[in-house]
Amino acid sequence: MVKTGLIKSDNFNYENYSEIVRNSFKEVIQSGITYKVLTAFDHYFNEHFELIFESNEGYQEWLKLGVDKTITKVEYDWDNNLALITISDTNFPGPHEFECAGTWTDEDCKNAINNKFD
Amino acid sequence: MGILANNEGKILRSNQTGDILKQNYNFGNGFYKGETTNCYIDFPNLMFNIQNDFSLITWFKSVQSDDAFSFQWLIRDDLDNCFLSSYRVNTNKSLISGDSWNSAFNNSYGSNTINDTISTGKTLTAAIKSGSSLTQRSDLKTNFNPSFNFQNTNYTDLYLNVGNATGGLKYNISIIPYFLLYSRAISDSEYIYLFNNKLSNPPLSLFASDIYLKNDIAELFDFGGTIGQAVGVRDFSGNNNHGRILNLPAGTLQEQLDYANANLFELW
Repeated sequence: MVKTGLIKSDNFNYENYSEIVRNSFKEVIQSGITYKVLTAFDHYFNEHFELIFESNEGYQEWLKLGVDKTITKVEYDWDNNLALITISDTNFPGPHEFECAGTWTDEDCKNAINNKFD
Repeated sequence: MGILANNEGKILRSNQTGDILKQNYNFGNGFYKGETTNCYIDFPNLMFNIQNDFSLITWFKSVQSDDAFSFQWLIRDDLDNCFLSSYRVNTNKSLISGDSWNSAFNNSYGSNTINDTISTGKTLTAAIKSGSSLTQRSDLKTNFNPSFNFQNTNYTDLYLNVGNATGGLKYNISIIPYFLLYSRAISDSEYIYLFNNKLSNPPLSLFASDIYLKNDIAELFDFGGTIGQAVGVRDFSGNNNHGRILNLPAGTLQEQLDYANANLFELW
């Protein structure tokens, strides 16, 4: 059984965790807050985690709740009629692909990203 | 289950359509990250100069899903910019069988994406660089030169990954039983031999091969340096370019090895 657990980086204390996994933490940003995140076998999780997800899918859904939707780049692939939109979010930067028949306005791009991460 | 021959003389199994292998070949397992892990393979000890001639070859099978892409391998830089990759694009998600796919190569620094419709779930694909040109082949119907520009990229710190994509978890839904890197451009006859035989025989020659993965099982390897022992897949080229499996759950080496063998290999 594999789980994913998180602790806000401000609350992270290296010694609270098994020496087998304590070097395997990574950093992730959700809703502007930096967390330490660990994906490990379940017996390595203890009371020092603030959030624990039983599945990677659940963890990904949680990440999507705090996506930074600021658009940084829009490109088009006219061979396939696709708009390729890149956003600031570090977890889901894209480029995110959307079917389109012509060049989009800024509002079109925002709506597409908002719909994807609603 | 009977065996039929279609009008091109290719032998098909009676419950399948399309261009398939001629017999129950011996690939066995292939590396398969699944839809819930982001595990992939890298090559910590590989010395690979993209400015020289090379060939990247893989057999793979895209697994049907709602996702748009399945990647097989990519070359990326430190910032996860994709320099060159092999992927399939599902252009008709409404098809129940998922048989209508495109094969494409992409240089994200330019606009060299070229699609070619193919109609089989199991495919041999190759990128062959000779001099300044790059040829992509996904089957005998495909042979083109996307006028790849090797002058516009900083060549330092490029990494070769198998089963990885820079786009996240939803990609890489391919089973990859076979991966080869040569430090030379393979000939047409070598490629055609690989595809036409459809027997999954070993390649005609391993001359100048740098990596030859069969992806049957995970093993423990000593990668030396700061990595030390880690879980990976064996390189059969004789160059000790064993692949390391990244993003395994944290735990002991034995736990990671057991997890990899239980979750990351599927029958092709």
